[in-house]
Amino acid sequence: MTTTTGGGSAAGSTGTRTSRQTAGGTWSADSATSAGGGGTAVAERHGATDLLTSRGRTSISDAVVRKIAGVAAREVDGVHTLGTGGGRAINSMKARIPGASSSVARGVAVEVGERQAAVDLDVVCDYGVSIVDLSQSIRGNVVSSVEGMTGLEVTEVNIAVDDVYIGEDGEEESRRVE
Amino acid sequence: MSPARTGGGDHATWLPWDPDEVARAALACAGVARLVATPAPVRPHPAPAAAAEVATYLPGRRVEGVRVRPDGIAVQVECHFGERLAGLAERVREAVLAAAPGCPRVDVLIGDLVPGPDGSS
Repeated sequence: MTTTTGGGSAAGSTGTRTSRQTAGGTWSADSATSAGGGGTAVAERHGATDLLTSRGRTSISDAVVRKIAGVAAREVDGVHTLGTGGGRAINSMKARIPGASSSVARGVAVEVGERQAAVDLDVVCDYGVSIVDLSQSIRGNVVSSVEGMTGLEVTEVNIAVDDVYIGEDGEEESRRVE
Repeated sequence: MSPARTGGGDHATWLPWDPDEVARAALACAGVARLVATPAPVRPHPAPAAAAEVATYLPGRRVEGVRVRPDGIAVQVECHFGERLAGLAERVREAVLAAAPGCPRVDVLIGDLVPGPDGSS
């Protein structure tokens, strides 16, 4: 699990991706890069296997995990918003179109397998917060929310701190009202 | 933004020690006025370059003055004036350790001094 700080938008979070360790081998890496032992092996938790039963399979779509992870990350105090600069600008326009899809999942990328999920987040934090402590809380809340609500095991939560929100910025302030 | 807490987002699952317990224990110490996330600002307007807050970030709220990390706890307090601070800090450390069994390290940051409860300053 990594935390990256800085402006590198797509490259760090969603562009290339190292192969992830999966217990069940149910999904594979989506890029050529591979890192030995990329994710910390997570102990088998209760619920992680409840999705695959002898009488059928429960599948959970990416959109579900994106929304849960998005809400869980946003509700942590100290997180100003999610999303990269470009994405936030596009979204502020999209927000004015009636009927456009919700922005809850903005800044969240996920990979969902049959039993496991991995989450990438682009976070804008409030000025003054300790990013180390904030990322620990985001990770904890995302993992416990996603695992609690879906039964998927979350193997990793990668957090890219994309920006810091500093008050007196009129433009940012108007974006905040969505 | 979200209407309610997301199900399952219980901070006890990812924090080794309960920040609320730690806050309660530290506040109960004689000589401790309050817990603070940042030391009192010395106010020339653009705010002085601040160190990172000492706080625990939780869903929907934060616990100010308590930082819980896997390798230890930090508490930042404002103290009443008129006592040797080393002794006070030791008292706070003892109280925090009692509230957080097994914690290997407790850092006590004294952010500011305020007039004592009896008005002495």
